[in-house]
Amino acid sequence: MTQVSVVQPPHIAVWLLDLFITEKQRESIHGDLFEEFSGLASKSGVVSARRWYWRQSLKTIAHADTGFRAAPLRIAGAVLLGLLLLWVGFPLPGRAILAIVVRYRYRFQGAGVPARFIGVVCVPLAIQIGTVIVAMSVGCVVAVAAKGAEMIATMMLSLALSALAVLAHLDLMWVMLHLPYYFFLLQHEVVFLAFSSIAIVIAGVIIRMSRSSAAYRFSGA
Amino acid sequence: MSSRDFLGEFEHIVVLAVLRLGDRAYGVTVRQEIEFRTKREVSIGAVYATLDRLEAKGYVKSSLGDPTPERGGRSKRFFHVAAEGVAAVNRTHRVLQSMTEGLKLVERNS
Repeated sequence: MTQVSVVQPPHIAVWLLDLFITEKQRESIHGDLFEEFSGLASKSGVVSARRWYWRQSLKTIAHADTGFRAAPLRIAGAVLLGLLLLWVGFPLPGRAILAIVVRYRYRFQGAGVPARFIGVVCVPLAIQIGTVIVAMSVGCVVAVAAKGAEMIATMMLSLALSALAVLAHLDLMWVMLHLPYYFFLLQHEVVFLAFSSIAIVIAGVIIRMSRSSAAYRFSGA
Repeated sequence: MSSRDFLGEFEHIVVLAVLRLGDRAYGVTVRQEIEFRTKREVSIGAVYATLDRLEAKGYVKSSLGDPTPERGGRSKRFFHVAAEGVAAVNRTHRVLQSMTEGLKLVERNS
């Protein structure tokens, strides 16, 4: 047995591919790529074979819209549900945290926490963390609803959120362009939006990976 | 006549590759056959996306083989062209022939 026969394809490429291909394609695409990779590794060397595997994986991911075409209504429905949940859910952390601050303000003051520190640092940070948690939860719901196309659905939701946020903050951009002093306002919004969008996609990755591992366990049993 | 009656360019190529390969048609061989004949790099994702679309239209059928060690213990998915697929290839050929009839393509290229 030669050493080449135990060479494995790049793990990150395999993982990425696994996130995007459909359940039906998983076994055959992984098997086909592994078969060709092993042949190439023994013929042209491991480096060349790994480069080929990466190229094939990325091109295959580019065809991941197949998942959307297979169930466009379910995915579109999941994304719309996600937008609705974000619309309902985004104000909740702010309301909850402000209610807590108002209710326990005397205790904070008694503990010697400066009111300005609470108002300028703690409250905005807590609201942002809460909003990112809401975004991640909504991402999980959308990924579960878009069974088999978790990544496409959560990426679409993330893009839709970004597009809507840009439209909603056009006024802020106008202010920023004319009053550069308020640049921090836009920075704050961009950071918040970026974290929320990333959280939605991470939720898609988590649900997809848990489903994949469950499928492997089931097929291995 | 609906657009589904004809095959798209890549669909056409994939069905012809499956027909040429016969019983040996699965992802790897179909991809390699297309690369060999067309001299262009094709991704396995493009092949499966097209084969799944053709299967949904009823033009090809697939079946799983046994898992093999050279595939890391995974099964091959074999494809064969259904009668509707052969009919679609014939219709597409007839249309292409009809469209090219009378055109002096060979003379123009030479």
